[in-house]
Amino acid sequence: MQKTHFPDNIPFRTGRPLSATALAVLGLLVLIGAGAAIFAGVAGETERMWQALLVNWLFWSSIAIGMVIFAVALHITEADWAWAVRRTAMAGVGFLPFAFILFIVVLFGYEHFFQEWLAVGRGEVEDAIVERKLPWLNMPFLVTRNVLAVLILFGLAFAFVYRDIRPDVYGAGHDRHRGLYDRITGRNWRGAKEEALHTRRVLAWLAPVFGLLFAVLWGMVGMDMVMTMEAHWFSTMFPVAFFVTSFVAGIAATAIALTWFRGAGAGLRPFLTRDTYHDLGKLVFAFAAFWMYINWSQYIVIWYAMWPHEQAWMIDRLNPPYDTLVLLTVILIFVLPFFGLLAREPKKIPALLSMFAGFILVGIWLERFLIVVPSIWPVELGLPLGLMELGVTVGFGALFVGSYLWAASMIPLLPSPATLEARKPVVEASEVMARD
Amino acid sequence: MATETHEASQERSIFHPEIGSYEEVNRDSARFLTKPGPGYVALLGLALVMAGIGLFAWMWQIAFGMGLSGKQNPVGWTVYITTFVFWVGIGHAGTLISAILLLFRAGWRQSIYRFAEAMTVFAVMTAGLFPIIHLGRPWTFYWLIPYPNQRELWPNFRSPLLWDVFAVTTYLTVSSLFFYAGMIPDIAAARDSTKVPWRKKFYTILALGWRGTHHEWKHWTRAYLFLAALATPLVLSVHSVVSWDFAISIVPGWHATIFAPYFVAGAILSGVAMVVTLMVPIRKIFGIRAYFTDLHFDRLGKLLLLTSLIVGLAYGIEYFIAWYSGELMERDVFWDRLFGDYWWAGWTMVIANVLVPQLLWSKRMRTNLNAFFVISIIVNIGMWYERFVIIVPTLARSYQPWKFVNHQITPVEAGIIIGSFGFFFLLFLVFLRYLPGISTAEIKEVLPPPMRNRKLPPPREERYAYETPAGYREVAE
Repeated sequence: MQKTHFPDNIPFRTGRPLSATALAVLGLLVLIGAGAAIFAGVAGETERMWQALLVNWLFWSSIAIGMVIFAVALHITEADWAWAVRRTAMAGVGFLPFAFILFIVVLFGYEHFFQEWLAVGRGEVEDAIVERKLPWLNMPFLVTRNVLAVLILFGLAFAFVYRDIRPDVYGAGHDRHRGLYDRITGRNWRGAKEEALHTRRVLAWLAPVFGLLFAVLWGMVGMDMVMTMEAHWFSTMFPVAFFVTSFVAGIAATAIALTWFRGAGAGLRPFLTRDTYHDLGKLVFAFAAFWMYINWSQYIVIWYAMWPHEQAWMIDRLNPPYDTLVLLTVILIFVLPFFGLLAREPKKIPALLSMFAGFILVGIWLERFLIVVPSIWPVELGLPLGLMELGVTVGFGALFVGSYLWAASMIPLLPSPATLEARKPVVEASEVMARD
Repeated sequence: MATETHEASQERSIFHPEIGSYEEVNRDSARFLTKPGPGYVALLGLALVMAGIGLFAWMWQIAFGMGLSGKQNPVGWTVYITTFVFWVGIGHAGTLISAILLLFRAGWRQSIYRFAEAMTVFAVMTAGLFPIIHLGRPWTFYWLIPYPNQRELWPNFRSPLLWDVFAVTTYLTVSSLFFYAGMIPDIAAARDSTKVPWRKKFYTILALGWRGTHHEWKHWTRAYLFLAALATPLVLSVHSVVSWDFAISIVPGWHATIFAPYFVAGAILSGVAMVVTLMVPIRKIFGIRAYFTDLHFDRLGKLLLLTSLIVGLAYGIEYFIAWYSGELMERDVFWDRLFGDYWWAGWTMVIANVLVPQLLWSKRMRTNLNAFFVISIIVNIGMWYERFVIIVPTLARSYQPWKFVNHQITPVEAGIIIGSFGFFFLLFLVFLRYLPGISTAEIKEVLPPPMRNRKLPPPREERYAYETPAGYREVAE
């Protein structure tokens, strides 16, 4: 059994702060995104604007929460190999405040997303089946439960990150973040060792509860914001596929971010060995395959049963203009990473691993596009994928990258010795001996 | 700090702090293969009686017909299919522990994976009996196998029942290979240490001429890793295929897209529960406390809790979507499961699989072996009922109300269920006596190496009050 060796001397490292130029470029890109959306709205393409916003919200916030959940999973499983990886994943928390604001914005497009059941709710259309669903499908309840769910999840993400970094930032770092660090550690500071143990005790329940709520609530958000668009269609796998895809996105994004921090971003090169990449690569590979498993398991059941109301959802997506995109999605998320990362060597090369992780992310963007757009966009108008969608995506992307790097410039990317020391097994094997 | 941890690990293993030396591992593993004590003989006798009951019930059914199993339209699938799914499910934890945890480099698997793997192989063998029993005319079982024949009849390749045949036989093949390959070095060690002539011959054949050379180890570890990688997707695929026996139909209550991962999680839940059910008595009877420590039960408890939560989530999603669907049939089936004629089965499933395992959030519960043992048995019962609830009440209430019929478990069915447990325990007990149940090589990997200047700890007898465990007679060394 390989053991992870921790270096004797672990420095305090954060991501490099954004330079003024980088900030300007990212700001410009965000403005381009906002401009593209506003332009589409003014030009009468409100449908496209709202669906582009929703697709991008789903995609980028899935990555952000997926990254934090990846860190949570690494914590729960006591993954020693990932000691220098976990905080990189955690920095995804930076985008969450923006994601919350953008969620409120996106909700204003409800008329476009939920037209089918809104019409039934207003009594314009008669539909016995949808009428039975109205206790769930009404705007006040939908908004309340989803805003609450997002608030709880994002709040827990912040609580998790706060708890995790607290023992490591006492009096640490450059003057830039002194104020913040002092505020984090200001109350009841018990000393690094005691704090690290306390963190461990708190996270022992906080992390599993957070993971559980992620599956329940994030699945619900996916179901409410996407599945209910087609009021008749339902699939028990849908919420599962939704949160699993977020998790896959989180792992892939972490692999890319790690490659950045390895070099110019933070100089973590000495702490990220080839073995670290090998292990991370295995997870990227495994979860790419798992994504396919989940989606295939959903597809085959629907295909085999041939129920008209159930097949409709698949048929919409497997016919032009979307069929090539579906194929491309499967190739990007599953086929390329599966065969590319099957061997050992590609997993260990950061550039290659990041490339495949990049494929996965592009594929997941398409997946988010494909679960949303065919449900609400009239098929006779062709594929709604053009410069406007690209612009909005770039805007969201710039906001994500900026907020991610901003968070990473404050979060210590390597755990302190006290934190590492605290990560002993909770249960001592010898306890039972004493009892027997 | 780093060096401190390193040095501490030189002193003792985190996982097996009570095992002092390589010598102890050799002795403990060899002790399994010596004469059994009264406890073991009693268990073996019980298993034989149970298997006998099952065999008798089966003979009875063959002689007097399938009517004895209480099958009637529309309830064509009953307890046999339930028990088939149950045993296939039990078979999942072994491969999870031995293969997936090996790939995840989870260090706590060394001492338990051999038992878990044996359990897997025997559970799948037990499961394999049930489709054949269910046939009614078991002598035609080979019709399931596609082969050129003069009748020019082929099984329906589009039927998930045939996928099952392939999935289960593939799983049995790979897990048996994996089980056997992993045992080779230990069988060779048993060959070298035994003095019983027939055992010597037996182990010599099975050990395939293993001498423990550097080259042999090198190839063996490689092969083991590849087999693990091959076995891993099977953990997911087998029960997914089993779930499609139900899910691809259009029966309300069966047709649900979530079935594949839901069945896999349930399978792992029941499998881990069965591992615990087996480990606790083995630990007592054979006196191998030092090998199954709190750390192992703590980890297994977490695994059980995780899978129980996944299963709970799947129940929740199923019920919610049944309501959300707005389809009256869907709603009715799920209402019926909890408040219909089979309410007792429905509530057993929910309470035993979702509510009771929540006790394992507490560390004290995970490491209290009596409590954990009881929980594991409750989960086993609950998982059997889960499959029962999916199969029987759904069929009993399918389609036209004039066909509604409640199925009662008949004595023959009960006898065959008892027999399947007897068959499984029989295989398992025989395995314990004749094949190495502990992987000595892998445990030694985590023990401190015997260095010249390293002081050996005193023999275990002196370290804590040592009694001859009930599983053994005194053996003169």
